[in-house]
This record gives sequence, C-alpha cells and structure tokens, in this order.
Amino acid sequence: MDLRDTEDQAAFRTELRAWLAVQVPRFAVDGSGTTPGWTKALHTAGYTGLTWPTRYGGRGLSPTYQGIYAEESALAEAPDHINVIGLGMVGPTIVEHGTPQQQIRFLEPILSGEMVFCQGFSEPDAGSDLAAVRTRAVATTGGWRVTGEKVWSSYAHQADWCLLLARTQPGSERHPGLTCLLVDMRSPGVQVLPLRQNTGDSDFNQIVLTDAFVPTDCVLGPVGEGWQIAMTTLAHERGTFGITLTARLSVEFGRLVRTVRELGLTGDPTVRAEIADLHVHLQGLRWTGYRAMSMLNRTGRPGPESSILKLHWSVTNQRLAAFALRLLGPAGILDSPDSSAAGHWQHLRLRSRANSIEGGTSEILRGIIAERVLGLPRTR
Amino acid sequence: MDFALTDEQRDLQVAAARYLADRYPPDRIAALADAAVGDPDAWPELRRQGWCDPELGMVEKGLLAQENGYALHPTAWWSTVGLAQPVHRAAGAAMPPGPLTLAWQDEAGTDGGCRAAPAYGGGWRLTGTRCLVTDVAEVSGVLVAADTPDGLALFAVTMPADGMTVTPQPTLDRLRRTARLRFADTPAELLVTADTGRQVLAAARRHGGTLLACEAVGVARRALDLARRHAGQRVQFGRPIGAYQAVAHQLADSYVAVELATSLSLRAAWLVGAADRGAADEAEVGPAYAEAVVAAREAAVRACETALQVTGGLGATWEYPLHWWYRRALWLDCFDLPTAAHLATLARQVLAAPA
Repeated sequence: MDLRDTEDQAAFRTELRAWLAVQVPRFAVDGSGTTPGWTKALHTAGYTGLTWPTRYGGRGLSPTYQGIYAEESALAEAPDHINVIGLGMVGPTIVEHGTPQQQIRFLEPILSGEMVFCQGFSEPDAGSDLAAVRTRAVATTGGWRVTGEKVWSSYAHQADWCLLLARTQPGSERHPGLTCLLVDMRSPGVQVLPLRQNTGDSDFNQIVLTDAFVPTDCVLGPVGEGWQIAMTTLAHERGTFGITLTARLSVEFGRLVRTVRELGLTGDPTVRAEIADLHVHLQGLRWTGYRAMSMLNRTGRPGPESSILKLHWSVTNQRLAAFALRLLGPAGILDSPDSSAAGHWQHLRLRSRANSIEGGTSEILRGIIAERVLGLPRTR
Repeated sequence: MDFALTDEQRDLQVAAARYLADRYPPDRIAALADAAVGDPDAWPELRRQGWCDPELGMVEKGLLAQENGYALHPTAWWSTVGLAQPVHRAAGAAMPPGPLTLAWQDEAGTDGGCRAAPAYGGGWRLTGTRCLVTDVAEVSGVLVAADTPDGLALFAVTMPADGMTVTPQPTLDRLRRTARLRFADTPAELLVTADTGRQVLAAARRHGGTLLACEAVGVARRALDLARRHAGQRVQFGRPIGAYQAVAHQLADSYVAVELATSLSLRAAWLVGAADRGAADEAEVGPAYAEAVVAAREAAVRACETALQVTGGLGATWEYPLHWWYRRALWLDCFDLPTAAHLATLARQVLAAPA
C-alpha cells in the first residue's frame, strides 16, 4: 500500500497538468471541446487509449494512468470530449469481442477521433429495465434491417457510428435474442432528434431508426449474445468513471467555497458545518475511487466498493447543489447572468436531479448492491 | 498509488478475524458485557501472536482495530497499543509486558486536573484527578498527563500505587469500561518532559483516535452483517424481508457509509504511520484524521441504527446481541473530541485554503 504517485505516475501527472493548462483554455473559449478537435488534440498528445493494448494503438498503461487522466482533466474542467463513448466503452468492447477486421476498421479511427461513437441502449419502454428492448433487427440479404427508437443518447447528433442493442430473434423476450450492432449514423433511415431536458439544455438525443440497413460485418459479437456484450460495455464505463465524477464534484465544491466567500458567509456556523460535512463525503468518494482503481489494477476487475461511487456521487452532488442555491437567499429566484455565479447554482440545482437517474437510477444501484454485494434475495 | 491491502496485510486481518471469532462468539461477548468484565487471560496469547509488536505498521494496527470492532474484542489492546505505545515510543522507553492505559481527561465542569511535583529524593508525586480512563481494571500501569511548573508532562504510574483511588464510572458500553482516578501524592516516573508533553499527548490521542475510526468501521461491518443475515432469513408475507426494497435499500445505504469510512480510516492510518516516519505533511495528516473520525462515527451509528430497524422486534430485545455493538458505536461517537470539533477543524482548513 502506498498512497502516493510513483515517480512515473507523478511525472505523467505533472506533464498532463501542464498540457491541460495550455490546451483547455484554447478549446473552452468557443465551446469547441465538443468537436472532434479536442479528441484529435488529445490523440496527438498521446492521451487517448491510455489503457488500450499497444497492438491496437494504445499505450498499454495500467488503470492508474487512466485514473490520473480522468482526475486531472476533470479538475482542469477540460471539455467532455466528444468521443468519450468510443474511447471508454465501445473501443474496449471491440478489443474484447470484435473480429480482427472490426478491430482494424474501428479502433485506430476511434483513437484519433475520426470515428465518433454514440450508444443506443435505452428506449422509451426500456430504461432501468434494459432487457425490455424492442428495437428490432430483421435478417435480410447481407445484413439486418433495423427499426425502433432509442433515447438518452449523448453525442448522437455529432456521432459517425452508434453501438446499438437490438432484438434480432423475433418473438424472443428479455436477455436472449438481443444483438449488438455497429450502426453507421449516415445510413438512410437513421434520424437524430434532440431531447430537451427540464433545464432547457439539450445534452441528449433521440434516435429513430426506420428500416436502417446494417451489414453483417457490423455485428459485434455473436448474434443473440448482445446482452453479454452490452454488459461488458457498461462494465468499462464503471472502470475509472467514479474518479471523473468525484473530480467534477470537487470542482463544484471549490466553486461553492468561492460563493460562500463572495456572500460573506464564512463566519456562519451552519454554513461551516455543512461545508465540512460535504468535504468529508467528497473525500470519502475520492479515496473510495482510488481504492476501487487499485483493486482494478490488482485483479483486473473493479471491486465491490466501486458500486457505491455513482450512487453516492449523485446524493452528494444533489446535496451540494441544494445547499449552494439556498445560500443565495432571495437572489436564488433569479435565473440570469446577474445572479451570483452567473446562474450556475440555479442550473446545477435543476440539472443535478437527473444525477440519480442517468447511468443507472439510485433504485437500481441500491438493488445491485443489496443483491450482488450484500447477498440479499432478489427484490423483484 | 496503490490503495489496496498487500497479501500479508490481508493474511493478518483474516488471522485476527479467525482468532477473535473462535474466542469470542456473540454469546460470550454478551455474557462478558452482562457481567461488565473483560478477558484479561487473553493477554499472553495476544502478545504471543504479535498484536503488541512495536514494529507493527499503522495500517496493520488499523486492520486489527477493525477486527476488534467487528468482534468487540474485550481486552485492553486499544488502550495499550493505541494510547500508551506512542507515548513510550516518543519517550524512547521500552513497553512493559502488561497492558497499559493513558489518563488525560479532565472532569467536565471542574477545574480539577492533575499536578505533578518533584519528590524528595528523586521521582515525582501526582495529585489530582483524571477521568474517563479506559480499561483501568485490566491494566498493570497507567500513563498520566499532569501539569508541572514547566507545562504538561507525561508520567508512568505502576499499579497498585500508593495514594491512587480508582472509582469505576459505569459506561454505556460495558466492554470498554472507564474509571476516575484520584491521585494523592502518588509516586510516578517521568516519561515525557514538559518540552514535548503536550505534543506527545496530542500525537497519542491522534494515534489512538485513528485506530478508533478503524474500530468503528468494524462495528459498522458487524451490524451490517447481523442485519443482512436476518434480512435473508426472516420471512414475512411469504418472502424473506430482504427481498423488499424498503429493507434492502436501507442496507445498501449502510454499505455506502461503511465503504466511505473504510477508505478514509485506512488512508488516515497510512498517513499517521507515514507521519511517524516523518514522511507526511501535517497539513495533510490533521484533516485526514478528522475526516476519518467523522465518517467512521457516522458509519458505525448509522449501520447499527439501520440494523436495529431491520432486525425489528428481535433487535429491540436485550438477548439479541446487536445492542452491544450499538453501545460501542455510541461510545465511539462520543469519546474524546466531539464530531463538531473535527468538523470545525475541517471548515477552517477548507475555508482558509486559496480559492
């Protein structure tokens, strides 16, 4: 056990921090972080595919380096890079389950940012209950014809490709009969519509597929085993994602401290107590994230402690957002740039409510902990 | 960065857990608690197994403390290794073989305290009071913080001692009992002079307090285990109650608190160990200690209270042993610095840091 960076890790962190200090402002000014430009810049500097095997163009580093990258880029408020799904989820799944041809065709372009991926899993009637997927793919000459509707898909309006979960076996139910498909977003019959959230923003999209053609060589993994492939994808999402979330929370916490100072509330005992308690929860998340990452390094799998990160992050982020907005007093009703922190807290208060929904609802996550970690009987 | 237990650390923890589970099944713990006695006969075996080795690392001690909390290990190990050992180390003195404790707390609402004066013909004499002294009935000696004309110093008193009166102070947790000590010209040996007395006492309290945070994690884990076993077996409305989300999700939330506290208490243990070797910055160790204590107390109390809810009528009885863990959790929640003081430390640190 050693809670410090090794020499190599410290050097990597220092170099990355310096690089981010120069690059983040360049991309943040015009919001162009959410363009392939940011991914290309990352790629050129060697920060994409850190944990990918070297034979696929990665750097073959341990998850610790991915953790350092996740932490430092979130602390630097680097833009969410557009190909986060390709790099973090689809790429590793293609490494594990793709054919050699798929690996040649997709991996290098994912790394370089030439191929931006989105994900098509959730549907209007398949949210927490993902196995209720109804989008159907019908076998045809040379491939499949796909019809259905996908929702809550990030980056779909900018994506070149989509990793889609569809029902390929007619009449099948639940987990069997599903298949993962790599869908070219420019195919005829693929339509992307923005979803507008209750904040007013549009971070997500709806994908409508009408008889869209997917050739046979774009089936990922065996036909009928899409559920297992989808689970691999989601497992990759949970690797060092907790560290990203915690570092973002830490940025919000720093902003909260600045707001407390600006409002002259540093002497208020109730404010001080809440700040201290939030800090304890933030630190708990942070060190649990490091513990989960260390287990991943040791065993190749995240340990049971990783299951709490997203759940408790959402609880804490919501608590922070509620506390921050209340600090503003009557000015909290304002929703304009002349409000304190330029309306940031009003926005976060609204946005944070979805934290306990997106990426697994808190109810589902508590159920997973109860059943898989605590060994309780199934609750359904 | 490697925040995972080594194989040796894991082996140590498993061996400790096995020893404690064999020697202290819950009915024995309940019987000892009922009688308000410890298990002093265990001491030679603990020493033989190396529980008191001065070379034991802080993370290793933290793991033993976790298992102590899990089992409610009824010996003076914590008083000896947690409180007295760091004082002896600072004094450069070897530990005597018997269990020890440390007396530093003042009687609330009095200006009592304890004073030391040089005795004729060498040595020192103590006069005054120390209260909430742990495990007094089990130990062969007491280390006492006493004021000298030059400031606070630390003294060793060997039991039985002339002019020392022990009055038990009955405690909520009958497995870690406390007593009030009154000294009247009691002979004592100077261990740490006033030059560093205050500093050594603070370090000893932090050393012991870090182990109590680890112990609280063990208490929380045990409460969670009792509750999940019950939730898997108790059938109502035709199903085990653990199959109801209202029950299962409470236990999941307990687990969250346990994991957060596990991370923070092990981190604090590692840092306190590093600080002993001069390899950690005080600006990091102080807050890490406060974070660990706050999180671990919360986890222990919460896990026990959730377990009391989940075990229902059974958990409300004297015979079901859960309340002994709850009593320990409440003991830990109150002992030494209050949580509000730790939070105040953290608020100062956070709000003073550059924006």
